[in-house]
Amino acid sequence: MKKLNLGRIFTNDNCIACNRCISKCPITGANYFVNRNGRARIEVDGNKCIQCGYCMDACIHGAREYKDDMDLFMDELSAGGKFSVILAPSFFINHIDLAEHVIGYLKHLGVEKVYNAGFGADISIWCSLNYLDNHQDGAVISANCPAIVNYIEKELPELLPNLIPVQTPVCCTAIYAKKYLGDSNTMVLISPCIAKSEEIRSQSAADIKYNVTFRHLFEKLEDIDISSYHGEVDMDDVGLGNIFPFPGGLKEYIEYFVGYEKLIWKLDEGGTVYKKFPYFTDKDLVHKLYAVDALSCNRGCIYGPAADRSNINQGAFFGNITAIRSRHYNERGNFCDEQLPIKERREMMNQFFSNLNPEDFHRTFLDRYEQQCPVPEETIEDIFTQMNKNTFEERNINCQSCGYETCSDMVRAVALGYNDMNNCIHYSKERNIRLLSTDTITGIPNENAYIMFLQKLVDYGRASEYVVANLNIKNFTLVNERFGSEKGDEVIRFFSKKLNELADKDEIVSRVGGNNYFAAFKKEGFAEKLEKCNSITVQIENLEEIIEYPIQIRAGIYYIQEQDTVVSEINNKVAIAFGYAKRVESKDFVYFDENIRKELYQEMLIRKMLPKALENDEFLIFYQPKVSLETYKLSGAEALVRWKQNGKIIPPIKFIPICEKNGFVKQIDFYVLEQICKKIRAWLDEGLEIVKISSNFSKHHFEEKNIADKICGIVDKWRVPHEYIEVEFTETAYIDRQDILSDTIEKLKSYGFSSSMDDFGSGYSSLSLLQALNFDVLKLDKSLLGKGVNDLRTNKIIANIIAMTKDLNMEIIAEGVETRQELEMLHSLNCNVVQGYIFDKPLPEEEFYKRLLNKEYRI
Amino acid sequence: MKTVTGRSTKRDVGKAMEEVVSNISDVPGLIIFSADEENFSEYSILLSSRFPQSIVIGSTSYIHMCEQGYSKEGICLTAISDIKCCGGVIEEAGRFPGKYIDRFKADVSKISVRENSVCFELCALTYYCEELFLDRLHHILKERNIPLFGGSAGSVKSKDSAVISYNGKIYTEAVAYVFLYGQFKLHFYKENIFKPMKHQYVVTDAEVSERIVYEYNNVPAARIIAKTLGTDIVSLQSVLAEHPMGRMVDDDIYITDHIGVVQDEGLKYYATVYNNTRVVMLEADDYKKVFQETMKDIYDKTGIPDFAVVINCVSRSIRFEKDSFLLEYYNGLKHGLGSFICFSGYGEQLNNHHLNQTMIIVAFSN
Repeated sequence: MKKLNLGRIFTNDNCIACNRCISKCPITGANYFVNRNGRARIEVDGNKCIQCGYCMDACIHGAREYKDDMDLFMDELSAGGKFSVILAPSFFINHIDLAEHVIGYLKHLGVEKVYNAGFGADISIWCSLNYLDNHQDGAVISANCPAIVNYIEKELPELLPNLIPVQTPVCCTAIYAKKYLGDSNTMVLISPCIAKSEEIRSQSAADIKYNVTFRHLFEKLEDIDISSYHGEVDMDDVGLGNIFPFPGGLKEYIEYFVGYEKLIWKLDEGGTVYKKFPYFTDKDLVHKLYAVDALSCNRGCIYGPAADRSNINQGAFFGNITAIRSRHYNERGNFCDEQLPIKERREMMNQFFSNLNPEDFHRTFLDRYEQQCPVPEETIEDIFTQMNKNTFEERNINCQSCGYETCSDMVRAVALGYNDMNNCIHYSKERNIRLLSTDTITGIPNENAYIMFLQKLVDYGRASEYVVANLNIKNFTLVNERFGSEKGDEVIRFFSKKLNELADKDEIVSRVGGNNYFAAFKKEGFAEKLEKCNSITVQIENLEEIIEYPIQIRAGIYYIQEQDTVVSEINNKVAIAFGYAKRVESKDFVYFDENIRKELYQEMLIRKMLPKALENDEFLIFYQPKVSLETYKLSGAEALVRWKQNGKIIPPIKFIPICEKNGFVKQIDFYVLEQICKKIRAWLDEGLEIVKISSNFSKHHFEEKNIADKICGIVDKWRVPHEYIEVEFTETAYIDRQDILSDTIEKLKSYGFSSSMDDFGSGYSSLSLLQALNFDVLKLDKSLLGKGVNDLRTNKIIANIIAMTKDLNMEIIAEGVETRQELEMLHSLNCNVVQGYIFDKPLPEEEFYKRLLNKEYRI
Repeated sequence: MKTVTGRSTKRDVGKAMEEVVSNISDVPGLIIFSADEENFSEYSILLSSRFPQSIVIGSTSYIHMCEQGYSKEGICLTAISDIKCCGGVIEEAGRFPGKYIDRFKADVSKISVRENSVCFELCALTYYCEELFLDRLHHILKERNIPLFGGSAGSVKSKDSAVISYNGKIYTEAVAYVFLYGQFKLHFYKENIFKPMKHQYVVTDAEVSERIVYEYNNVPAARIIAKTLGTDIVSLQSVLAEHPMGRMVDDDIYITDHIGVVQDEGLKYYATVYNNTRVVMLEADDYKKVFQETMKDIYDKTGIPDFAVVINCVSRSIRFEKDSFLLEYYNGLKHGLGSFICFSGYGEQLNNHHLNQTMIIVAFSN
């Protein structure tokens, strides 16, 4: 992984990745967006960083720090190291009041010599002037600012020949001290500049070991009272060296010796200075210039990134500058004497430095350029597409929030790994909106998107052009059960895609969860689209084969009307239609109308009333007699529940299906059994000769294994002999949990109860169930009598069923017998028992009691 | 345009030289050659001094092949006459190709807009960055609509011994180029012998300058690739050559070949991989069938050209060698192209694309 934060400038834990540093940094790729332990940060690539300090000034979170050699210097000094200090001339502008005390204190610590680099500035200018006069090779840019030299060496190597090859003031000072003064001490620079560290490393001729910055020095001195220490420099500037650090100081110095007709370009606009450098690749321009005074910091070296700004006396600041300028310009007999003509100043300067060899102060530069990897057009295109920026406008927002100037710059940075597309505020915003309105599994719109779409239609008054549908895949659980949930997800994705393709640009299909969808289509063409929805076939890879699975849908549909102006009301209607479609198995598509709403409302009411009804004993038990065809006597009865509410009987068809749906039927079944047992007990106590009563039990009971014990418990509670109770398994009992049903039947048998299979011959029961389950009684469904007693086929079927049950030692009861002809037919076919209106409809308890007293029937 | 090819496998360089130039009767404008690493320097100097007025450009190669035959030793060359050409070298091509770009621009300016032209280059770079110079050159060439093709030098021993030469001087960190221009027709063909699998990845962490991918889909690269291929990281190296990665660009696949597993479970490549790009894992196609189709395509469109330059990836050459297909491959080229020279190196370049595991054929016809 990229090694970051190892250079002079680094990021600390305060960083919140606000991108300000990126926006100010002149080097693309010097700032890297990283995610460290879930925290976003911008870190520095020390190899690319030019240490201009712009990021430190930009950062308002205190997240950028730098390293200098303060600690190393102090450690070595206290260990007895021999040092000479070079003080940058800006020290005498910023801290003139403290200068003598700092110098005194340093000398107290053991520093032997202190040199003002202003003297080195004088040497540097002298060498530069000589070079400029004797060379017209385009080398015109001053190399005094180390950040700018770093920039050219690393980013614009074509400008290396344009740098004036003369050492900087500090290096000139060091070379002079070593070579001409014989100073053999270790050299230390105290400066306001972070980038000076890199300069002194590269200039071995100057042999300066450490760069200590003003800020860290004053931090070190904070708790020390240096006021009692006094010291002076051992070498001061002789010319205008001390005005050097001031913005335009170099230009002023040069003009002082060459005149004003020479073109000297001052470049110190701070943040924009680096953008100007490509101009110098124009050779024509360069040859028109005499020199370029280039500084990275717009307030010169005085206010460098490592200057101790808190200790600068702003009031005295300009006074110091004025005093320095006045001192030098008014100094007579010196080459800075402003009374001297320019030519004489120059001659005096040459004379002054005549003992110096300019070659000693010559400088070379390093080509440290590494060309950035180009990003191919197709990669830019790919990343823009991933960021959902597909139009010219989207690709040129150029808001610069990411820190880059243009969206293209940001995309390049992403491609090169400097940044992350999530840092693009527009991408993040749009992605959040997309997440908000896109179903994550399928990628099609979600419920939010559908609601927003519908709202827009309503707001624009166009809702009545549309029909809305709530649809789902019928029997989808079978897919999951048969092929597994992973394949189920694949089916959902495929189906969603196909469904979505049916929506035109001004329509919407959305997935709202599971296999449920909401859609809004234009009314025109809807029927065709609905048919297409129902004609989708998906291919499922199952083991080695591919299975074609046709999807069938169920839908609730509502044609929006003019008067529909509330989205929730529209959705309510389509949900009602869908709810109805789910309830009514025979209808796949249900169109909303008010009757459906009323019906569902009724259903809801009933559902609400059921528990209270049970509590209040509103449920009555009716008994429908079973009559033996041998004796024409009462042989048994089926207990049937009726609901009496406010004096009116509510038929079972109104509430039993609802109870089946919400599982309340279980409570009703136990209630009925309880009532039956209570009544049987009472009749037995009266001494009545009673018959077997069958009680219905819904499929919901077979979700648990102990139903037989519960039945037995209730019967035993009322001390009813088990032979008087028959458990009748209702229509849908056979489809789920056959294993529990079979166990229950066997258990009941062992307890002495009989069990009957209801509705044999209807859709729910079959021969295979008969084979699997050991019933005592078979109840022939009345639908078998449907074609009429004269139908030969019907006769044969019934005859064979009866014969079969007799062979199986089962009793057979024919239900729903209403006519004499049916009765005679059943009698001729040896049917045991008949139940139906031919004998009695379901009787209320009092009526049945009378029947118990007189069990005979006459037809 | 007139071409003469020559080949020699003689161990004695002097004798080999005599043999290889024996058919050259005039002063060719351009000589392109490939030679073995051991004697490459000598061949370069001898050819250059023998033909001082010609541009002589060559590279080491895994296999030296022309219509006369192929071998791992010796030299193959093609001398081209009756053609205009100019060329040069861009040094420091892997670090700062822009430094020498003026000479390239100057050569481009020599070409008339009315003439058909192509830029052929050979490069040797130790720092894996062909894209750097391709980008710079393409920037200039696209203004003139001049196509570029070429290859990275190859070698038998190690990548460090792959070098190029231009007019007798050897370069290890440069791209030597030559413009051929005049009245001739050009046809370009690119062949992939890999096809995409269903496994796609997003590059989520790549050190672009090093050509290392550290993460695909936010998972360490070597780990996820190993899992896809049903192996572990330790054994991954042995299967990587069979499964390079591909970048889908429109309907085309640009192949990026693995170098191997590096630190931090990264994967290093022979071409640059960018962050947030989508790549697909490739598997070997029926390369014999693909090659047949390529040659048929060339025949259908071009017939047998007057001359062709083939740039064939060293990985393909090694595969053909292993599968004993090299002879069939050579015969296919010979019958399909007539006169040709084939370079086998560590990368192929076509316009601004640096490719791996690819074959590029540029057919010239009058």
